[in-house]
Amino acid sequence: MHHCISYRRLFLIFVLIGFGFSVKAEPVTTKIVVVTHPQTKLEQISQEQIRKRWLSMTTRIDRQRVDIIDFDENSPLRTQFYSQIIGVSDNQLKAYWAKKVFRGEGLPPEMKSSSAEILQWVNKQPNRIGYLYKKDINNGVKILFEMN
Amino acid sequence: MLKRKTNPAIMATLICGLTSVTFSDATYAVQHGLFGNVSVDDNSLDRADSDTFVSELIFYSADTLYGNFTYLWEFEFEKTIEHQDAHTERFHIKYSFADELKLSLGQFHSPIGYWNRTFHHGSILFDTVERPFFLDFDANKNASTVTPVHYIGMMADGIFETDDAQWKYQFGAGNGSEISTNQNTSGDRPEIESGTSINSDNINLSYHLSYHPDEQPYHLGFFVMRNEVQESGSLTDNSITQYQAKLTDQNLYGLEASYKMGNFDLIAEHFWFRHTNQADRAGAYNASAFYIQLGYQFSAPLKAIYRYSQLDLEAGDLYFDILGAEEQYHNVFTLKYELNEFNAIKLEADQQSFLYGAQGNVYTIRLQWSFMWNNPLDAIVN
Repeated sequence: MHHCISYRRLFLIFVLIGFGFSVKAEPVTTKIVVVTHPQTKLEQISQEQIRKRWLSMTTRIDRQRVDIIDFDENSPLRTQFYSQIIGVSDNQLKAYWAKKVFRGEGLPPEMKSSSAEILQWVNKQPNRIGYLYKKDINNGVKILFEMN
Repeated sequence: MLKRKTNPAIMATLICGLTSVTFSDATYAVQHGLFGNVSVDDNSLDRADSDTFVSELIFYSADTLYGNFTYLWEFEFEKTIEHQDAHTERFHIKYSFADELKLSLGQFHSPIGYWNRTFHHGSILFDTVERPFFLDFDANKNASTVTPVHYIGMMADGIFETDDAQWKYQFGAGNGSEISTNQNTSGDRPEIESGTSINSDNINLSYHLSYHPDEQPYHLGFFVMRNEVQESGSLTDNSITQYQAKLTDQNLYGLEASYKMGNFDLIAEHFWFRHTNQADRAGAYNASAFYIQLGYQFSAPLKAIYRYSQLDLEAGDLYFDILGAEEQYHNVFTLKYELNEFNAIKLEADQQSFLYGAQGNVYTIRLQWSFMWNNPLDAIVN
């Protein structure tokens, strides 16, 4: 009986420690970064520059033409990126692009379904930028923006 | 407005075929959707030809075809008490050389003014129920359709970015407009339509340039158009001149501006017309049309809008006489309530005053539900 209580306490301690670690680790694992090819001549970009580029209000950042990539519409990362960095909800984004397409002002960015595909696309040539979870990037890309 | 009747079964096949083809490339999402509205109105004239119920459904589709080739297709179904209609509003294929130069072939909205390029169909895109009356394209409404809002041909467009602004241009070249002056028994007014036949005496050239400063809440634009208008009716049906004979050389130019400050926004356009008539009533005539629209956003879903619009013309201008246009001005008050990103309800009061003649004021009340639906075929295809 005495051992049984100790094990139970021990189990609770492990659970609490684990929970504590997971809570603390959460922001790191879901932190979004905007990355580019290492040879792109950009070092840092602002949230406003990202917003304007991903909403296709411009095709340039600091006078350089940059191509962008998006996650497909089922991706939670896409939802998080647009809500936290661009400042629009899924519905607002849908309505925005419907209006823009209907006016003949362009099409939404090309889409990929996985982080690996995004990394591969960004790595392929300079002046390409994409967004990823920080945990999913590798040494082959340069971070231009990190969400605090 | 083109009124080519289209078989709904053929359209359904085309739509489904288009969707399945474009969905085979998984890295792009074909953009297709619906814009629509259902409107009821009543006016003080109780005219027999006034629409009391209108519904429009506009399907659009756009995607990358291959490499730098893209397309845009817009198809409209319209139902009023008097008639129903289905026709292609726009279809063009575009090749992008660079941001600064894109070339397209097909049927377009004329690059004149702000409203015609920015809103056109899709009433949820704009704040009022009706367009400014001189930019409307249904001649049977209580308004005068006087502006050539479509053309068939080619377009070059692009954007030049400087350190602190964007310059956008559109250059259009294509067939001039057509009007059938045949006597008709239905009472419908003649409409100005996109010319469909290539004729060296019937050309349309247009140019639009606009300036969009990066950090300023306004834009400015100017536009110019040379439009040669020809007869599309036949003498056997009592048209005023023979088929494809020139009716009018139309020179049109204008200015536009938009501005946003806090809860207020403003749109204004001014058109100047110069017509040199070529048919039996030779002579040169001037006209002008303008509107100014002010909006105030009360809270997130509710907005109030006021618009003043006016058309001035010289007596004897063949072009306006054929179209049945009269000098007039409108005071329009609208309340727009956005239910969400895809639905809005609008209530509008319109005071129409004719500057000459015995008609006096006409008061119209309109109620409209406008909506949009983005990628509705996804649910069917997936």
